[in-house]
Amino acid sequence: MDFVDLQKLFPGISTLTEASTTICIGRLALIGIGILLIYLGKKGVLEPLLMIPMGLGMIAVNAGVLVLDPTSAQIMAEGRVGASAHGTLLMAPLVQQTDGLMYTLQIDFLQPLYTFAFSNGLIACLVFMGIGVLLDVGFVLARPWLSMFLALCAELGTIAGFPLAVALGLDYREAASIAMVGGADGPMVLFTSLSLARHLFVPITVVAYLYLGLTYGGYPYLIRLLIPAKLRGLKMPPKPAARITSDEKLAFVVVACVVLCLLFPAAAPLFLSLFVGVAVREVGLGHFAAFLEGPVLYGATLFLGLVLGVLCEASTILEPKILLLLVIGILALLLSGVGGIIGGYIAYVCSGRKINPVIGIAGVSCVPSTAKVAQKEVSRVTPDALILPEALGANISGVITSAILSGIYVALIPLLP
Amino acid sequence: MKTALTATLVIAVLATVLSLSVAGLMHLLFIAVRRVQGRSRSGR
Repeated sequence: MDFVDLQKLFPGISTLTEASTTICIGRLALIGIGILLIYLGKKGVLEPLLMIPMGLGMIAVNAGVLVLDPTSAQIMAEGRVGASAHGTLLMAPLVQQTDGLMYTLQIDFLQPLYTFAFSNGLIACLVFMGIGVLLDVGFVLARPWLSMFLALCAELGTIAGFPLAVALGLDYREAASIAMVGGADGPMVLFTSLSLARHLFVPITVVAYLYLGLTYGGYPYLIRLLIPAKLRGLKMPPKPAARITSDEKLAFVVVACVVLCLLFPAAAPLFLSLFVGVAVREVGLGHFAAFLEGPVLYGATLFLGLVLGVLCEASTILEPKILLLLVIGILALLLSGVGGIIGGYIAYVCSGRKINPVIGIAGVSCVPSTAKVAQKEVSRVTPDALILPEALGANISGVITSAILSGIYVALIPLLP
Repeated sequence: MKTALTATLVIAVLATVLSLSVAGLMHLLFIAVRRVQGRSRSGR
C-alpha cells in the first residue's frame, strides 16, 4: 500500500499534514483544549453541563477533517478566505447562500440545529425559558433595591469593556458585542453579537461561553483575593422576609414584561422567554414547568454545548481578532466581578456592616453559578452562614440588568457615527 | 475615542436609571398588590 492510499484511508491525519502550519498547530491545540475542558468539567473546576459536550465537539471538529470534493468544498467553505478543500461533516457555520445552505442541511448533521435554533437565538431563548422556571422572583421582590444595585455594580465590565475595546481597535459594533461578555450571560452575548457584529458572532460566542465556564472556577479566587476571611464568613442577621405570594410575583412578571418589551423591543424575545418561564412557575402549570426545566433546559444546554464545541474549528476560530476578543472578554468579566464585590462592600457599609459583601459577586448574571459560588465561599469560612436567598435575588436582577444593557447597546450603538 | 467615552457615559446613566426604575417598579408593585389584597380580604 503506497502513501497515497494511506492518505485516502486516513483523511483526518493526511489533512493535518497537508494544511498550513498555522491550521495544523491550531487543530492540534484545539484538540488539546477540548480534552482539557472535559477534564476540568469532570473535576468540577468548569461548568460540566456545558464543558463536556463542548470539549467533545471541539475534539471531533478538529480531528474529523476530511477532503471534500471540490464542489461541496466550495459550497461549504463559501465566504471563507483562503478556503481549501478540507472540511467536516458536522457543520458549516459560514454558509450563507441558499444553495450552499440546502446542501449542508442535507449533509452536515448539526447544520439543522445551527441554522434553525442557534443562529436565530432560539436555543438561547429555550435556555431562558428553562431558567425562568427555576427563578423565584420573590427573592428580588423581597429586596428589590439591594438586588438591583448589586446587579448594576456587577455590570462594570459590560459598561467599561466598551471604551476599552474601542481603544484596542475594535469598531463600535464589535466593541459592544464583546463588552457584553462582562454580563456573563451567554444568551445575551449571542443575541447582541448577532444583532451588532454578525461577522464576529462565532468567535465572540465561543469566547463568551468559554469564560462563562471560568466564572465557576475563577470567581472563587477573586472573592478570596478581595474579601478577607473574616468578612467572607459574616453571618447575615435573619431578616423576617416578607412573604411574596404567587399573585404578586405574577403581577410583577406581567408589568415587567410590558415595560421592558416597550423599552427594548430588540431584546423582547429574551424577555418573553424568561418571563414565560417565570409565569409558568407562578401560575402552577406543573406539566409545562416540568417540561421547561427538564427536557427543554437540559436539551438546549446539551446541544448548545455541542454546537459551541463544533464552532471551534481551527480555520474559523483562528480569526485575527480572536486574541483581542479573548483579552477584552476576560478583562470585562474580571471588571464585572470586581464591580460586584465593590457593590457588596458598599451594601456592607450602608447596612451597618450587616450584609455579607460576598453576595456582590452574585450580581454577575451567570444564573445560578455565581450565587452558588458566593454561598460556597461563605460556607467554606462559616458553614452555617446562609446568603443564598440574597445572592439569588442579586443573581436574578443580574439577568434583568444584562438584558437592559443588551437592549441599550442594540438600540444605541447603530446610532453612533 | 471621545465618541466612545461619551457613549459609555450615556450607556452608564441609562443603565442606572433603567435598573433603578425596575427596582422602583418592583417596590411600587409590591405595595400596590398588598393593598389590593388587603382590601379584598376586608371585603371593601
